[in-house]
Amino acid sequence: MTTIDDFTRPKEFLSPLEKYIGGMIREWAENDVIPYRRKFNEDWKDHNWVEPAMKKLYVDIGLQKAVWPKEVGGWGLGQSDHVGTLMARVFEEVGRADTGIAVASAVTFWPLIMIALKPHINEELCAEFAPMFCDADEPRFAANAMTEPQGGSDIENMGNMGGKTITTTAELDGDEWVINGHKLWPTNTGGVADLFGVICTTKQGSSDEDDFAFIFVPADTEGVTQGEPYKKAGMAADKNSDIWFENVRVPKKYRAWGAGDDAKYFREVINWGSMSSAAFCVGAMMNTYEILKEYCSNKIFRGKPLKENTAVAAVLSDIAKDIEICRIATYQSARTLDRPELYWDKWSHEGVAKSRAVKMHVADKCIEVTNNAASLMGTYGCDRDWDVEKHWRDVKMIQLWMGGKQLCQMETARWFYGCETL
Amino acid sequence: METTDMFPYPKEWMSEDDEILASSIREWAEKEVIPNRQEFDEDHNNELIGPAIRKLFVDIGLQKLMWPEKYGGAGLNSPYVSTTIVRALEEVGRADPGIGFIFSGTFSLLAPIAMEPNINEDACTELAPMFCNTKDVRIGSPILPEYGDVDGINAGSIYGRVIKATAKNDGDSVTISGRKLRPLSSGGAANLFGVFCAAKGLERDDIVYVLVPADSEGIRMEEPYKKTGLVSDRNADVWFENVRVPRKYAALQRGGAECFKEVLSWHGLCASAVCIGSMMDVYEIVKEWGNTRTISGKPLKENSVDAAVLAEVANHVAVSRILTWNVARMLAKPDVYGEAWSDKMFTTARAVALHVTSSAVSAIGKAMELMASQGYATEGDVEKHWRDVKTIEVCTGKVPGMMDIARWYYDCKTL
Ligand SMILES: Cc1cc2nc3c(=O)[nH]c(=O)nc-3n(C[C@H](O)[C@H](O)[C@H](O)COP(=O)(O)OP(=O)(O)OC[C@H]3O[C@@H](n4cnc5c(N)ncnc54)[C@H](O)[C@@H]3O)c2cc1C
Repeated sequence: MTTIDDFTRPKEFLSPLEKYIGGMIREWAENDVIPYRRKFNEDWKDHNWVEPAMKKLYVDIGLQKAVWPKEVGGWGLGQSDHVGTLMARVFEEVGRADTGIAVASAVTFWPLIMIALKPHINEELCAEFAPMFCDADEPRFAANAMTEPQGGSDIENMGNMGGKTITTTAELDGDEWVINGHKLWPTNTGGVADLFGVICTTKQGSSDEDDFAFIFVPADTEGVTQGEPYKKAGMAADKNSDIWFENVRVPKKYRAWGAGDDAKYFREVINWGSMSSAAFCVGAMMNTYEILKEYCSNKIFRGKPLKENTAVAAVLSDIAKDIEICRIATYQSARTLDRPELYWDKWSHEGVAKSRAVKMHVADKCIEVTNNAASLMGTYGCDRDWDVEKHWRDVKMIQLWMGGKQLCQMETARWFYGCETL
Repeated sequence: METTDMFPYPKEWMSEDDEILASSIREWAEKEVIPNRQEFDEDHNNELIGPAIRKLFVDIGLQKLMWPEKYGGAGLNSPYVSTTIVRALEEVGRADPGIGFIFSGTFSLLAPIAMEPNINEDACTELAPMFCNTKDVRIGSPILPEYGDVDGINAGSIYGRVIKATAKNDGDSVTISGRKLRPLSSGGAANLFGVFCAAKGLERDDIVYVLVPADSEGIRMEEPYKKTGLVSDRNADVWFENVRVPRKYAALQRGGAECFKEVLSWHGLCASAVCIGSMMDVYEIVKEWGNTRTISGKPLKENSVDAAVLAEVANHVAVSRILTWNVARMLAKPDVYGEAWSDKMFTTARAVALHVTSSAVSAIGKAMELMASQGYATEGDVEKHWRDVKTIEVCTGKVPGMMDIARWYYDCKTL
């Protein structure tokens, strides 16, 4: 029988570890998430159902150690030549179960890209922060604090705005950075994260990349306050809230790299964010395929399963076609992160534009796939018991985050068409 | 300018009374619904939704609207009611599509027995007091044939849908049986069901439409199931085990297929009107966002890429509204356009309902694109509309709806 594993991906790109790690996560998804995920929606504030699943994934399977170098207790994936496609598989498997958990896991890894991925491994900061994640028997989370009340897109639009709209400031005072500002919406906030990567400016209003600063702030630092989680359409397994930084002092060395390089490697962060978003979507689409296959095989109309009706088969075919194409594109995008020498620097504008293009396409298709699947199922499509509606609600946010669809369009147009004012 | 005036609709088809009703619903919406609707998802004890429905159904009196005057109703039971209904439901949908959807079911379920020229005097005499002589909310729940069944049950079929319930001749009564039937709306809150059944031993037709009071013996209503949106509408699967109702509750003088098309034509109109209200509310919200949010140094709406998306939102509202009002007018003039149950009118009403409900999902999805996190956050007041209209859209039945259209336009014989 055909299964989700029959959707194509370029096999020669895959990591030797991917079968093993992918298999463990598949098992976790089947046992610890899929049977309970319908309860997540009501559990958005307390995470009574979400936390045990997170603990299994982060601590028992050990995902929170994944990218940290081996020398500091991690798995060392940050130094691997296959981290891109391996993470694509991991996020696809987690996303198949729940894209909210997928984003919570990916974001724990997200700010660490600045310091724990080759060729730019900041050994000092790895030694400083790795124990928080690697010597813990409780789940540990990180958050990437970019978005501010006046808007997230312009902050991520480094190509055009160069950080001009960032209002969170970092001032050097002796050996310490003093941070002031207000962020909102980062994944893993609302009391979840242990470590923040904070996007700041050293000179408010400047669009000089040298003034862009990426500074790590442990969540328990004095002057950091987090708000209550927000209620939203979906993604209940991810908590998001306000964070206020009031004269927060951290050691000077907590700035990832310094003038120029922070902005440069932040582009790689964006690039990874786009690839991971696409992988979450592929996972959600594959699960939608599974559910739909069951529904349309078992529901009988005039003596035949629904899938034998040509109008239904046409919809099913479009869904499979989109998954097939999106999966190949996502793994190709991930591969570019593993082979920069063949493609482009991970932090190049080209990399950002191309990964945004893939993310935009896959997220749009994912919305279409889940939307059409729900419509095909009639009243059962909006019934929580079937889970398709959950994916539909959850994945909408993947289109909206990281600057939204329009920023993806502008960055893609800028690179491919040489636009100068977008 | 008011949003309702910005989007064109043929005003010459409306009466002054229609505007009066719409403005009292607007007042109800502003007071009873809009300030509370963000809490509706967690209103497990019906403390917010219940009183709001009561004000609309009982105090404003929507539940009496379509019963003939001589049985205590408001007497708006001629096809001319269509424009009144559309204008009213636009206002309800603007506030809460879920309440609009409850009313859509309650209203369209009665069309086969209470709408001119087919007033079923016996059934109205018996059933109207339930809705008209009371201070309690009364809700109707249509149980339509489904598109397929997990157990392959196929007691009969109608317009490409499977009938799971049966109605057996039992002398002066009719006995209804059916397992795990899923109503279009309100299965967990209904006072009256309208059920399409495969007729067994009844003189009329192979399909019969029967009205079944929810307190009849043998009815089991499950706990409402959780769904994407329309939280105000407590829908649940319903079981009928040898439920006996008086024979006069069966619309035996009318063909089952005729009743089916009539209910769906009216329901499609109602669902479309609710979606227009919902889209108009979102239009206002995203307009305000476009004026006040700054992107790339200027108001969001002044970025041409965003303006193009805003245009799509407005476009969906404008076209959907014109279409819906035209269907309302067609239903009001059966002499010109055909009866609500004619294949032609049924097809047009289906086509417009499919178009408008999916336009609503698209328009609100586009508004969310521009509002990003604020669009996704409950406090942004848009995401609930998005979930609500999606739930309405899936209930309109996409594939069977497409088959309805193909069947009429292309003379398909086996769909
Ligand atoms: C579940 C979830 C997880 C999130 N995770 C994080 C996180 O980990 N870290 C974080 O910092 N934030 C996070 N966010 C916030 C998210 O990334 C932002 O919402 C997003 O970047 C858009 O910012 P905004 O909401 O402020 O919208 P705005 O910046 O106000 O943008 C509004 C709209 O403007 C349009 N637009 C954008 N750029 C342009 C342009 N150049 N030209 C024309 N139009 C444009 C787009 O349609 C956009 O949607 C998260 C949000 C949610 C709901």
